[in-house]
Amino acid sequence: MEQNEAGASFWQSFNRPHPVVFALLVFLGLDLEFVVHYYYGITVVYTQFFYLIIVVAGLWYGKKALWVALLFGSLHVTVTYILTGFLSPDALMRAVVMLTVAYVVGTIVEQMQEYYDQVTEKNRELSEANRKMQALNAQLAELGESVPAAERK
Amino acid sequence: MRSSRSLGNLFRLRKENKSSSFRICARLLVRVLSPFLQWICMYPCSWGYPAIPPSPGSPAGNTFHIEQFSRTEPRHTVYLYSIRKNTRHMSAPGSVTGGIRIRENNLRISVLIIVSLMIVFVVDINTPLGLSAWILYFIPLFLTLYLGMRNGPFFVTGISILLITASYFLSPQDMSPFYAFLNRLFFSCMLIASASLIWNYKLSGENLQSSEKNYRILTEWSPDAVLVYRDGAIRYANRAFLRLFDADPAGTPVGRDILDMIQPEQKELVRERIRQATLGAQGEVDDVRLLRSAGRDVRVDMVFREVCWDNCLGVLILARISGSA
Repeated sequence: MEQNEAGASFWQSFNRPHPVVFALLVFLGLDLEFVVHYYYGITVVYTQFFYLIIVVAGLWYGKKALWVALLFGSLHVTVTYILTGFLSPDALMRAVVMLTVAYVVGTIVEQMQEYYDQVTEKNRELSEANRKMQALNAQLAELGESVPAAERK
Repeated sequence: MRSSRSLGNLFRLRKENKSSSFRICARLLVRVLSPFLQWICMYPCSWGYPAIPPSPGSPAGNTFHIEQFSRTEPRHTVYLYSIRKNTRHMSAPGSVTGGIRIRENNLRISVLIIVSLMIVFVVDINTPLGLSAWILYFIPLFLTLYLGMRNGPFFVTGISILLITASYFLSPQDMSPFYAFLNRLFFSCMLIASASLIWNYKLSGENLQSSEKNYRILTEWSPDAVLVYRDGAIRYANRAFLRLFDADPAGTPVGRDILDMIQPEQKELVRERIRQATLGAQGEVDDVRLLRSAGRDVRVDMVFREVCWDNCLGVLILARISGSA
């Protein structure tokens, strides 16, 4: 049982939030928006990276991923507006999809997390109960042996 | 009129359950489609786990099937249980262990995933190449978190990539095919990366579940009667405790007061030991006479110790037969 925790691999460490890694991802996303979109004027392909950031945010922080989606969505719309001079329906659509994905991912992950938290708590309680049971078992065995001995005397 | 009533129902459902609109839509969709698919599939879907036919007399599906092989020893009875897992429910409905349940139905989730994949595909082929409707493939991908199938995310990713490829050829072209191809290729990579993250998340959840199950089995298998007593009632009792009382396995002592099962003369002593145990002491009482509903009473040795249960302080009680009355 403890082995699962001890044998946690590098991959499994990604189940817990890593604020530094997340900050780097957000920084990279902002960088892409400014360099690829604003500087080079490329509007496609790079936006897919935002979804990875939103998915990671959803997995680590639940519905708070909506804020990340809002950041990237509004940034994308703003930069498109600066470049084209009008509110592009395509950019707006992307922003809406980002928010939708963030909401769905966040909701699902939060529900699962709630369940996993319950299992973790029950795990802790059962592990403690098992540990105490061993001690009580020994006590019970002593009690069982001492009574017949007293009766013999 | 009819549609306004259904909208009213939908609104009421939203108000009562405080669910998100997504969940309401998903439930409605599942309600409409599940009878057809149940007819097709006949059995509950148990992807990822071996399907086990229900044993005679046991409720079908969604249970742990517990087979009992018992042998008696002079002082106490040892029970060996062979537990076969049918679905991911944590305990049998009639179990006294009160395991944590997850509202999971693989069939319904599978249907929901397939339907959402189809919807996204239809939307994608009816919209221009430049419109990234295929991003919504993230939704069925994340629905696999509910699915009791470890490799579910990769299967859904594979199907999504196939559908993305198909829609690349079927969608009306409004942009450079090269850029559209690059766009979809990059998104497919994102889907694979996300599937890996989800798979990893599911794996750690499964580890937790199996760990919890192991602890639970250890307690369930204990030859000594184990119970947790809190706020004047039994909160947990293992199988040996049921056997000790000749209790019907379907009935549960959970919720009853242990003091009501003890001979009146010894009640105060046991009550005092329980009180001391809640204060941190480790107490014991030998030769406690327990009143059984059917047949002879039984004499047991009992030991007490405090334990944390359901986030509250309770008392862990172990009992072993000291001799028949």
